[in-house]
Amino acid sequence: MRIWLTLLLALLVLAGCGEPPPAALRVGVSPWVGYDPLVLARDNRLLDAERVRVIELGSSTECARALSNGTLDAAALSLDEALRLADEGAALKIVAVLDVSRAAAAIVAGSGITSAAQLRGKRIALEQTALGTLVLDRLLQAGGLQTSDVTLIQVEVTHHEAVLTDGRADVVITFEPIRSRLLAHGHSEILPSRPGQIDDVLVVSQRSWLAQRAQLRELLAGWEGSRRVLADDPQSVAALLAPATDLTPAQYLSALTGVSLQSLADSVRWLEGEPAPLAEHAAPLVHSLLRLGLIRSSPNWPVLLDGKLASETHAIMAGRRK
Amino acid sequence: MSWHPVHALPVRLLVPLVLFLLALGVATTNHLIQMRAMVKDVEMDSAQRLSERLGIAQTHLRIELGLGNRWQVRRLVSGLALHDGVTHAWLADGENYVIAALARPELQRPLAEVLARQSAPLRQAAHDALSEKETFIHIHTVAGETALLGHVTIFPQHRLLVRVDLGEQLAARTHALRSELWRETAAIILLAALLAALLHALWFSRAARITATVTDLGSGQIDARARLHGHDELAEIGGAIDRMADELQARQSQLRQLESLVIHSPVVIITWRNLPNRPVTYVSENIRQWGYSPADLLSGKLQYADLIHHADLPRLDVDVAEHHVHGPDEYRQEYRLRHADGHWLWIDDRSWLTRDANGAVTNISGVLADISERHRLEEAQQQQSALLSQRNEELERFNRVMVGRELDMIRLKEQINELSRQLGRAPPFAVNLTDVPQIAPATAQPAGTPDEKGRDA
Repeated sequence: MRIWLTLLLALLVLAGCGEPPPAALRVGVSPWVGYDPLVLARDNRLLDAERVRVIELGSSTECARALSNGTLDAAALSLDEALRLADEGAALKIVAVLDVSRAAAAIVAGSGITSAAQLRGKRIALEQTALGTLVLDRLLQAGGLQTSDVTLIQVEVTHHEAVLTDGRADVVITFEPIRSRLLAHGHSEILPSRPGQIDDVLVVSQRSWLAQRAQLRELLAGWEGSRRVLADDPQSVAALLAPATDLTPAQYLSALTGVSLQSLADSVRWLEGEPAPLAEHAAPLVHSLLRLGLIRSSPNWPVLLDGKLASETHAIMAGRRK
Repeated sequence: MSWHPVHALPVRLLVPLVLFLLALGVATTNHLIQMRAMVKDVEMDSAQRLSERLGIAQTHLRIELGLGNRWQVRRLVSGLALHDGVTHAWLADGENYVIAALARPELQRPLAEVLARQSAPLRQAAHDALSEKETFIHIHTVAGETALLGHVTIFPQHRLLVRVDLGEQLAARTHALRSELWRETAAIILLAALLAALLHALWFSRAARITATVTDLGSGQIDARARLHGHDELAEIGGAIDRMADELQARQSQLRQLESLVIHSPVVIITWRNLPNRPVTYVSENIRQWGYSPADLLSGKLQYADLIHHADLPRLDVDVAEHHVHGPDEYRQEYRLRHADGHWLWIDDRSWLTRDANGAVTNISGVLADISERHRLEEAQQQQSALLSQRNEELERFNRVMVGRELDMIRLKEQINELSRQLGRAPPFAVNLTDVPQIAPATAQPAGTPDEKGRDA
C-alpha cells in the first residue's frame, strides 16, 4: 500500500510541476489619447509583458470586434460601445472607468463649412461605432437634417485625416489625437462635444474576469501607476508618447486637456453602489442609444458593472504605499 | 542476477506493480517521443502561421505605405501583437529607422540601436535576415531561444521583422501532453487496480489459500486442506496438495500406529546420519527403557558411540567400515551398551545402510534389541556344559581306572586259567570280556575287540 501511495504522490507532483504559465492578458486599445496611460504602463514596464500585453489596434471597432471574437481579453472602449456589445450578447464586465472626456469627440470640417446647417448633401466620414452614431445624431439634430440629407462614409479612425485632407469627405466625426492634427492643418471644428458626455471604460470578457483576476489587478495597477506618472511628469510622458500620434509633445498635452483620467478610487465610486453612479450618469446615453436603435434594451447594470476588482487593486496599492 | 528484492513482494502486489511500471514506462517513452514531435510541430506550425501573417501584413503595409498613411502603418504593425507569441515587430524604412513597432519608445530610432537592446541570438537572427536581398518571406530560428524571426521586404526598401516566441505555445502543448500522460497514467492505475482486484479474486486469494494450507501442513497441521473448487491450475495444485495431505495423514496414522507398536515393544528404532560422530536423527521413544530420553541423543548431548563398551568399539568400527565399503548393506552386530544406571546391556543391533545415487552412505538405521537375558542364559548353559564335560571326564577317568583293573584281573584269571590248564587242571575262573571294548576301546585295544576276546574266550 505504501508503494502505491508513493507512486501516486510522485505522479501528482509530476502533474503539478507541468502546470503551464497562465496565458497573457491581451488588452486592446484604439488610438485615443485617453487610453495612452495603458500604453505608457506597457512601455514603462509597469506591466509584465508575459502576463499583460497592451496591444494598440487601429480603431475601437477593431477592438470591439477582437473582444467579441475572443482574440482580446479586455479592451478600452467608450461606454456606448461597451453597452452596444453587451446588448449584442457579449459576456462582459466593466471593471474600471478610464476617463471622462469633455471635448474629445469632435466634428471637424473641411474648408468652407462652419456650421451643421451647411451639411446638406455633404459627405460625412465617421467610424461605424455607437459613439460615431451618437455624435452624428447630435450633428444632424443641430443642422435640422435627416440621415438621408447627407452621405455617410464609414471610415476607420486611422483614415479620418486622409479622407478629409484628400477631399473624399467634407466632415469627419473623430476624436483626439486626429482632432488636434486636423485643427493644426487648418481644419475647423463645427460642433464641440458637451462636457462629460463620453466615458471610456475598461471592458473585460466574462471568461477573463473569472480566470485572470490577478492579471486584471496588475492591469489596473499599471493604469493607476502610469496615470500618476502622467500627472507628475507630463512633459516626459508627452515626449515618449507623442511621436506615435504624429503630434508634438505640446499638441499631445493639449489634446489631453479635455480628458479627465480616472483614478482607481474614481472607478470604485463610479461602479459601486446600488444603483451604481455610472448607471445613473449614463441614463441619457442609454436613452439615446435606445432611441437610435443601437441597443434593444436597457443594460443590466448590476451584471455589467464590477467595482470589486478596482476596489481590491486600490486597497492593495494603498497598502503598499503605507 | 539476484531476484531477491523481487521476491520480497507477494505476487498479488508484484504483478499489478510490474504491469503499472511497464505501462508507465511505455506512456513516458511515448510522451517523450510526442514531446519531440510536438516541438517540431509547433515550430513548423508557427513558421507557417508567421508566413501567412507576414504575407497579409505585407499586402496591407504595401497599400498603406503607398498611400502615405503612416498612422495606419503604425497601427497595422502594433496590431501584430494580437497574434499569439508575437513579442517584437519592427518596420524599418529605407534609412533603417524604425517607423512602426510594438513599443512606442522604439519609434523613430535606428533599427541597429533598437536591435542592440535585444538578446544576442535575436540580434544575430535579425542580422542574418537583413542580409537577405530577396523580397519574399523568410523565417529564421532564433538560436538559443524558442523563437522564430520572420522577415519580409515591403515597398521597396522597408523591412518588417517580427519575432514570435514559441514558449507559450510549447508550454501549453507540453501541459496538454502532460495532462494526457496524467490521464493515461490514471487510467493505467485504475486498470492495474482492477486487474489486481480481478487477480485477487480469481488467482491470488486462491493462491493464498494454497500457501496457507502448505504452511499449515509444513507446521504439522496435517489436517489442513486447500479445498479449492474449479478446474484451473490452482484448483489442480490445491487438489494435488489435498491428496498429498490425505496420503500424508494416512501414512502418519500408520506411522503413529507403528510408533506405538515400537514404543510398546522392547525393540528400539534408531537412525544415524553418516557424518562424523554419527548424529542421531531419530530414536524411538522407548529408548527410555535404557534410561535415556530421545532428546538426549537427538540434541547431541549424548553420543551413541560413547554408550558402547570400549572393548567392543574397535571391532564394531572395523565391521561397519567393511560394510560401508564392500557391503552387504544389511548386517547384524552384538555389543554392550551402558544403561543410564551404569550396568551393561547386550544389544542385538540389526542395521541397514541408505545410500545416495553415488553409492555413498547417507543414513544408518538400526533396530536395537536388548539380548542381555539371552546372553545370560547362554553363559549359564555354557557354564553347565563345561561342568558336565568336566564330570564326564572324571567319570571316564574313573571308568578307565576301573576297567584297567578289571582287565588286569581278567588277564590274571586267564593266566591262572592257563596255568591251570597247563597244570591240567580245570581253569578256575570263568572270564567275561563282553564289556571291555565298549567302555574303553582305546585302553581295551591291546586286549583285542570284545567280540574277538569274547570269541577267544
